[in-house]
Amino acid sequence: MKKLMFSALIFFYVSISAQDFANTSWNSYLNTEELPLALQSRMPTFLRTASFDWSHVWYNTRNLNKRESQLMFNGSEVNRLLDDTHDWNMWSGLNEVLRNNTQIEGIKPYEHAIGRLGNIQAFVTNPFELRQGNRLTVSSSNRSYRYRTQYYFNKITLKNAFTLATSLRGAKEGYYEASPYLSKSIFAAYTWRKKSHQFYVGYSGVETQRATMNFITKEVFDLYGPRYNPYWGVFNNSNRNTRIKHQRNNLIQLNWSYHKSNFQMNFGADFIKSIHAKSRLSHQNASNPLPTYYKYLPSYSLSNLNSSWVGLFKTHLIQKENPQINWADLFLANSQEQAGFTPYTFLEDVEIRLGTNVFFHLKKNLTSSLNFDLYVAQQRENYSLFARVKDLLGSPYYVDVDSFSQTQNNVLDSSPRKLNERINYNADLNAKEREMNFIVRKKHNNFKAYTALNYKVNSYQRDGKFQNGRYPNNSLGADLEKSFNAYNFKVGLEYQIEGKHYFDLNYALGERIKSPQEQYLNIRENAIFLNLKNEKRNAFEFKYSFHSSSFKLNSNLYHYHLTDQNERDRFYLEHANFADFTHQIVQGIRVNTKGLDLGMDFQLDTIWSLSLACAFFRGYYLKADYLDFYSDDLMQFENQNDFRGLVFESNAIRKAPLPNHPSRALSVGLNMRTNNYLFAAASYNFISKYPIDFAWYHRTEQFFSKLKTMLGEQLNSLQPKYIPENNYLNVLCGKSWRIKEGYLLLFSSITNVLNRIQPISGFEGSRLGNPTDYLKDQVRTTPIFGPKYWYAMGRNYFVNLSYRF
Amino acid sequence: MKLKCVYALLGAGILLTGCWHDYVGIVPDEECEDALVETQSWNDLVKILEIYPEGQIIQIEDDIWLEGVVISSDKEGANYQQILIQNIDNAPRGILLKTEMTNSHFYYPFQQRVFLNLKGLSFQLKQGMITAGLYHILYDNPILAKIPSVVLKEHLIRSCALSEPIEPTPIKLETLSETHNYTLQRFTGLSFASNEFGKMLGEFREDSKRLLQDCNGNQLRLVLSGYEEYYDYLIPESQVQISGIIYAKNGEWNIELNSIEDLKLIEDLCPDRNLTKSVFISEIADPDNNIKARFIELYNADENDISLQGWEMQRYTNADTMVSSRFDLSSYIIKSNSTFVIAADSQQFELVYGKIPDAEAKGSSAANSNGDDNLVLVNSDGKVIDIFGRVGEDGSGTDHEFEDGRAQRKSHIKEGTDIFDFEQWEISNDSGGNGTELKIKNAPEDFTPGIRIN
Repeated sequence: MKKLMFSALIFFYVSISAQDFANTSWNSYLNTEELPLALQSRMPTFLRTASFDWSHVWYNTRNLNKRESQLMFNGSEVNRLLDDTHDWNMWSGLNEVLRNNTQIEGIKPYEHAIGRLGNIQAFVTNPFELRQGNRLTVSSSNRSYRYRTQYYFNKITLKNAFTLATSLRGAKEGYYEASPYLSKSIFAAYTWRKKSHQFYVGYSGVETQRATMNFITKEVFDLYGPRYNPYWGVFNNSNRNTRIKHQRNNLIQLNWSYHKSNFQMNFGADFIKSIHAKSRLSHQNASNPLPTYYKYLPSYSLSNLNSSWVGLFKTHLIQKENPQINWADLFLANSQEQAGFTPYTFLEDVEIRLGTNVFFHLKKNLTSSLNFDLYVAQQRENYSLFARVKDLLGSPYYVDVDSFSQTQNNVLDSSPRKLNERINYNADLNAKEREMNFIVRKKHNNFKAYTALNYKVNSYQRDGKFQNGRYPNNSLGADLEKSFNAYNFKVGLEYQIEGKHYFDLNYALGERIKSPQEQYLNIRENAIFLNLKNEKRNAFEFKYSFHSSSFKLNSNLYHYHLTDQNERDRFYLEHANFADFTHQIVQGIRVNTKGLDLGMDFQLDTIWSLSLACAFFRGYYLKADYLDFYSDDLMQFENQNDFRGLVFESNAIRKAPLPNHPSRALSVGLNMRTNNYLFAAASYNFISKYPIDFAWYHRTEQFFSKLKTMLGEQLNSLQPKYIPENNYLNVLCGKSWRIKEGYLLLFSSITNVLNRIQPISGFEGSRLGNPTDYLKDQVRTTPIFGPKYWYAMGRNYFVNLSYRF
Repeated sequence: MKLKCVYALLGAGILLTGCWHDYVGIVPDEECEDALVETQSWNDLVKILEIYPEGQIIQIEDDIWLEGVVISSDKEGANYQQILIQNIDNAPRGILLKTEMTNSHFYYPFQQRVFLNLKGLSFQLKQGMITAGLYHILYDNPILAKIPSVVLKEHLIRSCALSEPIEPTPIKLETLSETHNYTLQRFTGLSFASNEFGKMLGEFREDSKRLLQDCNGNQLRLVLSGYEEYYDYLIPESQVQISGIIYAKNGEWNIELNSIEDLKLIEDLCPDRNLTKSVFISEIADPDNNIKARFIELYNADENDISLQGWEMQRYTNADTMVSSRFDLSSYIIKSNSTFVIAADSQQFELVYGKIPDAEAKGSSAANSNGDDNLVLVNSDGKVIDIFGRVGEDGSGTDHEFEDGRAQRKSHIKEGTDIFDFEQWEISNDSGGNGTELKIKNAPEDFTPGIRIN
């Protein structure tokens, strides 16, 4: 009983983070109770720390992004083909049914899933395998939502089982100013059995509307504070936010499985419909409505010698009082009669996704110690990408013209657009993925070995519905279908001694096909295809664990070598020869990553224990071949080849640290657990040596040699910028009671108790492409185009009360 | 079991209710409320500024409010970072506000009624023009800096009044005075200079000026910055009515448009202007002693000055039937009851006659005739206003020869003729044929340039 209650606490302890940190991996759905024993003894401390304590700083284990983890949902891989990521929002809020999951860290395959470089998370929502009963949960937090109510019901009989779960989360305002939140989720599943057959049908539907935030400069942070949100303004006495993400996700899963003692077959089909819309204010021939636009900030005014000090001072007195969007002014501007444009429009960038996914899985035990898994799957997806008018803000219509080039966005129909009509861009993408996995496993005494092979064929086709005036020849209609294939190979060996020492060696060799989002220059507007090479990867991991009653150690030593990576970015570039919104593509990046993750637990006595988690990371670039710029202006430019194939200054890239991951992360924790079901823990965390993303162009020969000419030989290379060390304290506690037939669980946590607010991620500004302007901005105490950061949240809490009956 | 399921569904239903406000289609329900301020006369500001030396930048420290109307607009690219307001009583007065605001027409559209709070703003009165901004020192010199947008909104308050738009009534250029600076005015019956017909109104991204004249030759210059959307509008030949903001610089009146709508094509309002015969040739000289002292004199017998815009003095040499030489009179105005002397050589003319000619036409011009050529004065429509001689007939030995002599229009003649009439002339020459006087004339004593006795 005690163990059960503790595990329930652990579940809450880690589950809260995922909802609030959209960018972290969902490592957090760790349910200690249901993890395989080996894993439990291997990595609990490190994993727990990385997913809970370090999610505050968006820690990605081993610097692997979302793309590197594999998500299995009832046996099928439900990734998004458009950008090769996972849509966690598909189940957001449904924590109660996601409890039954397995997480495999690293490159090791799991069942029929071969995995990538990160983890594999396999969720099973078969009602037969979920916990029976009811659970009612109410929670409160001051992060993205204020309140959460969840209800879970599961009923199992001999022949069938049924699950229903709902969730409601909401806030008028979350941690950031005027950041509303509303999310409704529902899940229902039914399974029935007939002899060796089992049929499953499940539905999950999630609708979420939430405010989004963006990176800001230090100047904005210092001026307006840690909760500042530039995207809202007072409107009819309430706070109207312009940046709302609205998602509606629907997933139906059908599954048939057949079990025999040494043989298992599984056939599944998924149907997905999701609509993702992000709103924003657009402006045509009118000034930027956002109060953080660089021209409205003191750094810019200060750079103008002709500006009056009095005016500057007064401006910032007024702005500090009210640094928000002025809705009334936008309506006023739109109410004036204009010829050929609409000053301000509230629009949405929409993505509609329709998908089907079918798979077949066969598992066969050849002998008691030898088995194989065969998995064949086909995924088809159709994406419609367009923008639409959400609110005309008092204007009679929207004129669909690109305000920079003054060209029609849809040459075929230049009529003024009304509410809800499609504008700016309109294109479909059809994507297909066919995949096969074959995994063989062998056991022998204390050894376990496996070898796994995966072959994948992906194809994409874009179908433009608008003829864009800027790309009259390659925007309308369907282009040729592009096809790519890749293989992945993995091999591994485990060995254990008396259940105490545990060794695990894994090696992976393979390729990653680049997604349409990476392959097309701008899939929304044109069919320019970059034809990038597959990324090649080579990875090695060695894990060692020691497990005794009072001491646990888990370690993971890894080394990854990745070639033919690309970096893509889009920003406004002010070059000596042109100024325009520019795509930057860096080709042929090779990186090298090695590191050690360590987790330790010392049981001091029956109540107190000490935990330690640390990660040492050394990741750096080995080379990058060249950089290409693409922009509308450049395409008109005779010498556009001067901006293609720009090579990098020698030494500028080699050994430059990989950005956005700390070289050192450390957490020291003190935990207590009494036998009357009281649990408390405190951890102090240090995250240091964290470089931010650098501006690639500033490291090219074209730019850097000019800088060197101006500054002389003192300048060898541009040093990476690091964000200051983050150190913070987290505390949590929980208690459970038995009431009649049920259990009441109370859990609460406070993150960043000392309210230390530091940046946790950032990137250098790339806008200044002219060395003189760059230097001028660098010497300013407050640069106008300085780095932008994401700041950690200040002190925040989470309280959860749950009744299970 | 059944009951449990019902509870479950019910519970789920309740738990799924939440509200979301998406504002779409709603307009701001702000009621306009004017600040209760007492406005003062614009003259109070002028009086304060007049205390100080001209051009000094003065910061106003008193709580003074003025009521006015926005007369500028940057909607079509004019008035970049400036807003002009004008008072609404009869005696016009205007202020130019320098601001950092762009697209100011969104907030301060043309004709918007406003209240201006002077307190804290700085003003400069220079050559009758009032400019406002913020006090600033640049390189040790006080300057008027632009007012930042948010600060401007605190000083220049939109009024709720929905009053009639001000509609300027056309006024005459000659009636303009200092107080008209930075006010919205309308002029009618103006013409562009004929040599600019068909050119663009402005130059792309460059300052430019175009000359306009009224029937009486009064001038106005249309100023463009080259950022206006209508800079490439082609200058019309017809007369125009023009409305815009005017100001005087170095004694010249300038006008700036808010919109191309402010330039309207109209019927010619001075129909007689080009047909006037009040201008005629009054004296032609070919001194025997000094051919460099040749000249031709015109006379305007009208009560008004007459612009010679587009006019020409043509010469048909000897028996030529094609114009041999043209002298463009476009840049000249001939004053009422005055002469206009065109010398063949202005230096020699000055030396010989001791006075400066009004124009110089060198070479084989009408002013440099050897006495047997035909001379014609034509207006901008190409109509003959006056003629000396008969085109196609060499003057030698005829009644229109003045070789080594002089042709003088009789003093009672008040207008030109399009056919040569010998009776109107007193002609002397070296041959004396056909009623002319055989008498050689010498300069300066036998000639009277610049003088006509009626």
